[in-house]
Amino acid sequence: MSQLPLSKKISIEVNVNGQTRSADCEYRTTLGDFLRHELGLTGTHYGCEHGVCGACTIHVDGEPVRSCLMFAYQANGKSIKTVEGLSIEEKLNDLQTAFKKHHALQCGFCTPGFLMTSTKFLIDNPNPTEKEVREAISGNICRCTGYKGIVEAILEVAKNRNSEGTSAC
Amino acid sequence: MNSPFLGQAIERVEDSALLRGAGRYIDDLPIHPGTLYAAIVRSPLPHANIISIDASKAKALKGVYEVLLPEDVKRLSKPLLGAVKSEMRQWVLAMDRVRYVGEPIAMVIAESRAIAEDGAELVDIQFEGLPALVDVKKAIQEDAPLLHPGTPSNCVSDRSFRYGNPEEAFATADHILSIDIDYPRNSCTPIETSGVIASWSQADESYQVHSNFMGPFSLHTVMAMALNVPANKLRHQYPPDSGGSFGVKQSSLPYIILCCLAARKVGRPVKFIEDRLEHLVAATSATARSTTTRAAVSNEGRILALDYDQLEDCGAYLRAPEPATLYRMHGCLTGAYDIDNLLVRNRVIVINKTPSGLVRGFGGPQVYFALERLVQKIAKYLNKSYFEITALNYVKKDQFPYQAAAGALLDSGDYLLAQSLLEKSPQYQYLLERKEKAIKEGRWYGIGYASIVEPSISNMGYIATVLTKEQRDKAGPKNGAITSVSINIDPMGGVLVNIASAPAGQGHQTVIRQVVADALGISPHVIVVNVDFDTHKDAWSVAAGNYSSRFAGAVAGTVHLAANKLKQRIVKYAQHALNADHDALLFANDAITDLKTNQSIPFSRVCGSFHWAPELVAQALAEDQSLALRETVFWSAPTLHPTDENDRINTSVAYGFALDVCGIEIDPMTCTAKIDEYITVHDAGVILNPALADGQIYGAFSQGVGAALLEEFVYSSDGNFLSGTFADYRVPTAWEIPVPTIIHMESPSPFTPLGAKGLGEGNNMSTPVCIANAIADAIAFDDIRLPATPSRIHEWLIQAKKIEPRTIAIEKSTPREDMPLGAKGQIEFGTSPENIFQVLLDPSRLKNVIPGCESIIQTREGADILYECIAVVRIGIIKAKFTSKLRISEINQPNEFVLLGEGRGSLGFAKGQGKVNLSIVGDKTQLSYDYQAKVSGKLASVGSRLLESSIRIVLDQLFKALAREAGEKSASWLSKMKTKIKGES
Amino acid sequence: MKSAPFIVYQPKSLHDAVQLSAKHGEEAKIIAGGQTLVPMLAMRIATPAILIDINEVHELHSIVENDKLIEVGSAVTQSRLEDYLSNTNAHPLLSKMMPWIAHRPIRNRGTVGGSIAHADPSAELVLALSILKGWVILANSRQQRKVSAQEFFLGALQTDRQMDEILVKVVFPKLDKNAQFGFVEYGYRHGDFAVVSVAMMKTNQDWTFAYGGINDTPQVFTEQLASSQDAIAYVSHLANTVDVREDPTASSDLRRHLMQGQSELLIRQIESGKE
Repeated sequence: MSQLPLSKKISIEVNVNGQTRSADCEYRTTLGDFLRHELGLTGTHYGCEHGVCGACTIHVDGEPVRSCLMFAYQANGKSIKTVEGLSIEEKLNDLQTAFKKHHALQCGFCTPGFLMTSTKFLIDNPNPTEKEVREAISGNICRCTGYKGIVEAILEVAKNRNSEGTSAC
Repeated sequence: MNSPFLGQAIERVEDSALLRGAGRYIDDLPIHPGTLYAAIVRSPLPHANIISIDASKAKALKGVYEVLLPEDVKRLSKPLLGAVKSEMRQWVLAMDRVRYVGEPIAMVIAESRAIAEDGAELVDIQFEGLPALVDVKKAIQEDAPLLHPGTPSNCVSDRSFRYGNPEEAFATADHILSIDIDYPRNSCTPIETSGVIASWSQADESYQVHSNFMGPFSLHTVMAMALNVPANKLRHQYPPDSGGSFGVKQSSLPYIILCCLAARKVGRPVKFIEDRLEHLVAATSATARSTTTRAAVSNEGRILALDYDQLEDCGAYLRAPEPATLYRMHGCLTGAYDIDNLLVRNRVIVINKTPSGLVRGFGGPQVYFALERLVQKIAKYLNKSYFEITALNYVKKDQFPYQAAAGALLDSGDYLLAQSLLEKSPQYQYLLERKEKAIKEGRWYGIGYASIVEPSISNMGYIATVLTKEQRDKAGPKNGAITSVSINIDPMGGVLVNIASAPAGQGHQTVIRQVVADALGISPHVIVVNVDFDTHKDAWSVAAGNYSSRFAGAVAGTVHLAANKLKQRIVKYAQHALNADHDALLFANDAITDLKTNQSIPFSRVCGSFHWAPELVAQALAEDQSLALRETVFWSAPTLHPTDENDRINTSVAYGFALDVCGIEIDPMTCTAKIDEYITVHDAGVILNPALADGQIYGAFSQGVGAALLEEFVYSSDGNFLSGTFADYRVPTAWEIPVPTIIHMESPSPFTPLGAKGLGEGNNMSTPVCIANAIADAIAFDDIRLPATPSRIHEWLIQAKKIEPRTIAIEKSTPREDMPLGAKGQIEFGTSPENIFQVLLDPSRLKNVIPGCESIIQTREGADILYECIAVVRIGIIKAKFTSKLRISEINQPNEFVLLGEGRGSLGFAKGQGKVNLSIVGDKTQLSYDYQAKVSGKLASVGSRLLESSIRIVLDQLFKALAREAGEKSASWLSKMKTKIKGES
Repeated sequence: MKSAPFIVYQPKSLHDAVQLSAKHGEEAKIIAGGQTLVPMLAMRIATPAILIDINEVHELHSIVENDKLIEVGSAVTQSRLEDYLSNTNAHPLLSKMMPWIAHRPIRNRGTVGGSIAHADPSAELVLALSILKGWVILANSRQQRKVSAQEFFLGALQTDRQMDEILVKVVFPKLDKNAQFGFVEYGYRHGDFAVVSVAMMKTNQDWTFAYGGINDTPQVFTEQLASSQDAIAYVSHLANTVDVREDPTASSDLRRHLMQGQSELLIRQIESGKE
C-alpha cells in the first residue's frame, strides 16, 4: 500500500496553442478541467464528462481527443490545441467564419468541440461528401441547431479551400 | 418586410465570441477567492423512509467544510410553494422520506468539487425501503400506497371542464372515435447543465446569486419565500451566456435555494455545477401523459365535440409551476379546429419519478399527440384524406381573432392557405410519388400529418385554471404577462438595451439590434444589448425570463415600443435643431434628415445634446416630456384576461401555426423508422430574422425527432432510473437528423407590437405526432407509443401481421414487477450436495465464499439462517462494497434452499432471491438456480445495459467459490454456466 | 463527476509494469487509453487507489505482421491500428469492423488491449478476436501465457486475466486466402454500442457466424453448409434457438430479428461477390 497521499499535487507542463504553460493539479484532474480551471482556457466545455457529447474535444499532438477522458498527467509534455488557438492573429479563421455565416451555432456550448473535430476532419478528408461530413461529426451532439448549418459550413470551407488550393490551418 | 434590418437574415453578433471560445457561461465567470464547491448526496432509492443520516465521516474529511442537512433546511427555509393547495410538502432536501431516485438528501461543501464528491461518498444514510409507484394508473387505485401522507390520494388535482354542449354533440353524433395514447418522459437536455454561485450577506441578511436559471421569474418569488427573505433580498444575476435551456434550466431553482442555504451555513460563497449524471436522473422531465381522447364526428368528417381525459405524471412532487404543463395549452385544446363543444378532465398524479417541469413545447407535444393521432384516425375511418378533414374543420381566415371553446383567442392565421402551400409544393408531390412507388414494391412507407397552433407569450393567469372558480375568487385574479425593457442612449450616441429575456442561444442580442436599428435609423454596431440581467438593477417582472417563446412577440415588441418612445423625444429636439416645423423627418443612416430641406444632423449629435445641453433640449420638449434618453417600458397584451367564471382562459397572446407532413419508411431489416422527407409550413407572424427563425425550427425539429424515435427516460418496474448516461438517453446526432423543408408564411399578430409571434416550440409539438402518424400509416397499426424504437416497431409489425411471429425454442421468463432482473442457470460441481450444505451452515467457511468478506455474523430465525457481512462485488473493473444480509430459508437439506440476499453500498442497493436446487447427475452435483433481483442507485442508472449480466456474474462467482470451498477438485476446472444455449460459448 | 483520488505509476518497461502489478494487487488498476476506465472513474463505479499507466511501456506499442497473423501490442491505439490496416490492407475484415468502434476521437486514445481486456459484450474487437479464433498474451511477474479468445472471454466484462496480469499482445489471425467475409452492425445512432453485430467468414463450405451484443460474450457458430440457401436456413435456426438477451436497450425479439436479417444480408453479399 503506497504511502503517498492520494491527493498529492503534481506539476504539469504542456504546450497549449503554441505557448508553454504549467500548473499544479492532482493525478485525478482531467485534462479539460486542467485547461479550464488551472490554465484559464475556458473555451473547452464539459457537457457530459463521459466522452459522449464531444463538447470537450481538443487536439493532443494533432489528434482530436475527449479532454474529459484524459487526465492532465497524461498530457504532460504534449502539444495541445484548443478552440482559443484557432483564430489567426485574433481574426476568425475560415472555418469559424463559415460557422458564423451559416448560423452553425446558437448557444455555442458545443461549438468548440465541433470546430476541433471538423478542423482535423478537413485535414484528413479535404474533399468530403455531405454523408462523410455527417459521419465525421456524429460524435458531437448539438441540441440547438439541428446540424444543418454546421454541415453547410464544413462543406463550404472544403469547397473554398479546394478552389483556392490552400490546405487547412 | 421593407426595413433595412428587421426581416433580414443578419449574421449574429453573439457568434464571434462564442466561436473563439470566449463565451462567458456560468462556470467561466470569475468568482470570489473564498468560494467553496458543492456536491449533492442523492437518494439511490425511488421511495424510502430516511431512518438516519450520519455525516460525521464526511465532515472529518480534509477539505470538507460543512454538510448541509435536512435539519438546516428546515431551520433556514420553508417548503416550496405550489400551485395546488394540498398536504404535499417539498423541501429542497428530502425531509424524512425520499420519493424519487436522485432526490437531494444532503449537500457537501468543500474546497473543490472533487473533494465534495469524496465527502458525499462518506455520508451514511439508512433507509427503510417502501414500494415504489411508477404507473399513474396504478397510483390512483384504491389500495395504492400514498406518496404524501396527509393527502387523500395520489391524484392531487382532479378538475373537469365543460364548454358548449358536448353531451348533446356526443349523443347525436354520426360517429364517435377515440384513441388512447401514452406520451413518454423526455427532456431537451441542453449541453450545458445548471450552475449556481450563491453567497449570503450576514450584514443585510440577503442572498446574492449568479445562475443560469432562465425563469419564469414568477419563481423568484417562490425562491424568496422558500428562503424566508423578501424578494428584494434575493439578488439574481444571469450570466452573459447560457448553453441552451429549452425550459430545462427552470430546474436550477432548488439548487439556487440549496446553494444559498449552504453559503449561509458555511459563511462563504458556494458554487454548484450540476453534472450530467445528476442532470439526467434528477433535474426535470416533460410530463408523461396518458390520454383518452374522443371525438364526435359527422359523416362528412366535421368534428363536433372533443373529450380529453388526461392523466398527468408530474413526478413525486408538484414543483412550481406545475401542473402548468397541463394548463399552458388549456385554452387551445381544440388546436387548429373550430370546435365549440369540449369536455376535459385533468387528473394530476404523483408517482415516484423525478418532478416534471418546463421542457420546450411545454404541454404541446402531449396534447397534439392525442389530438392529431385522433384526427388521422378519423380520416382513415371515414376514408377521407387528412386534408379533407382538416379543411372542413380548420378555423377559417375570416374567423380571426377566433375565440376557442376553452378560451384561447387565436389572433391570426390562414390555415387553409398553409394547406394549399403544402399541397402545391414539389416536396409534397415527391412524397406522394415515393409512397406510391413503395407500396407497389411492397415496402412499408407511410405519410403522416400534423396541424398545430403554437401558443407564445403565456398568460400568467393560466395556472389559476387548475383552481375552481370559488378558489380563484378567494385567491384574487391572476392574469397578464408583463415584459419590461430599458433603452439608454449615451453621450456619444451609443445605444444600450437591457432586456430580461435570459437567452440561451436564440440570438436575442442580434434581433434587438435589428429592432432598434430600424426604429432609430442607426447601424446595429452602435447598439449594445445586455442580457445578463440583474434583479437588483434591471427592470423585470414575474413574467421575465425565457419560456413560452415570448421573445419575438413580447420582448422584441416591447423594445420596439421603447425605442419609439425615445424617438418621439429625439424627434422633438431634432425638429428644433433642424429648424423644422413639420414632422417629415427621416431617421436613417445614423442621421436625422429634414426631408423638405435635405438638411441632416448626425443621430449621435442630437443625442449628445440631451447630455451636454439639457437646457436647450428642455426648450424644445413639452413640459411633461422627460429630458432623459432613457426609457423603461412595461408592456402587457390587453387580451390576457384572468380565467373567467366559466373556466375559459386565453392562455397566450399569440398563436402561430404549423402544418407538417413527413414520409417515413420502415427498414425491414432493422425495424428503424427512416425519415424520407419532412415538410413544415410555418406561420409565426412577422419574421424578425429569417435565419434565426429557421434555426429555431431546425433545432425544434431535431428535438422532435429525438422525442419521436430515440429519447425516453426509462424507469424499471420497481422505480429505478435507468437512463443515466448519454449512451442510454440517446440524443440524435447529425447522422440521424435530416434537413426538413420549411415553407414560411406570415400572418401578422394584431396583438404584438411588431406583429411577431413566437416560433421556438412548434416542431417540438408537431414533429413527434407527425412521425407517429407516418409510422401508423406505414404499418397500418394504431397503438403507436413514443419513442418508436425498433424494438417497439418490431412488436407492432407482428401485431399488424406484417411479419410472422417467431417460434422460439427458449422460454421467455416473465419478470416480477418488483424484481425485474432475472438470472437462471445451472452449474456442475465435482463435490457432493452434502458438502455444499456444510459450507452454507458454517459461517467461518462461508466467509471464504462471500467475495471480500470482512466479517460475518450468523443468527437464526426459526428454521432460517441469517448472515450479516460485508461483501465486495467485482464485475470487471468495477469493485463495489456492499453491507449485506443473507437469509437461507426453506431449507430442505441437502437438496434445496431459498437464498435471499440484500446489499447496500455507495453504488446502490441490490436485493435478490431465488430457489437453489442441488441434485446428483451422474458423478457430479448439479446446482440450478432461478433468481430474481432488483438493483437501485448508480449501478442501475449508468449500467442498465449490463445489469442482468452483472447479476449472473455475481451469482457465478458466488457459486464457483462455494464449490471450491466445499472441496471441489481439479485446478483446471472451468465452471460452465449451462443454460439452454445451443452452440459454442 | 470527478474521480476518487488516486496516484499513478508510469512504468517504462513491461518488467516494471508487472512488478508494480504484483506489488499492489487489488489496489491497482491498469489504465491504457482510459476511454472505458475514465468514465467509470468519473462515475465512481471504480475507485482504485492506484493506476498503473502502461502507455509508456515500450514493449506494448508494436504492430508485427506475417502472412498468418497480426500481432498488436496492447497499448496500440485503435486509430493507429485502423490506419495501419487501411494503408496495408493487411486484414480486410478488421478494417471493416474498426470504424464502427465509437468515434474517431475515442479511437485516438482507446487501445486495442483495453477493448479486449474490458470484454464488453458489444465490442467490435472482442467479436473480431472471437471469430478469428485469436488469442492474447498475458504477463505477470513470473510468466507469460497465451489464452485463446474462447478461454479468455468468460462473461460480460469478465475475462481470464488475473489480478496481477497485464495484457501484452493481442493476436489476430489473418483470413484464409480464399475466405469470403462480411460484417454488419446495428446501433441506434452512429457510434453507439452494437445492439446486434454480425461478423461472417466463409472458406469453401465452412461458414462461421459470430454475433456480438446478443449475450454476455460473442457467440460463434461454425457449420458446414452446402449452399447459401442452407446458410439462410441455418441462421434462421440460430435466431430461433440461441439464448438472446433482453435489456432496456432492445428486446430479445428485435435482436433475433436483427440476427437473422443481418446474417441473411451478409450471405447475400457473399453470394453476389460484394463485400
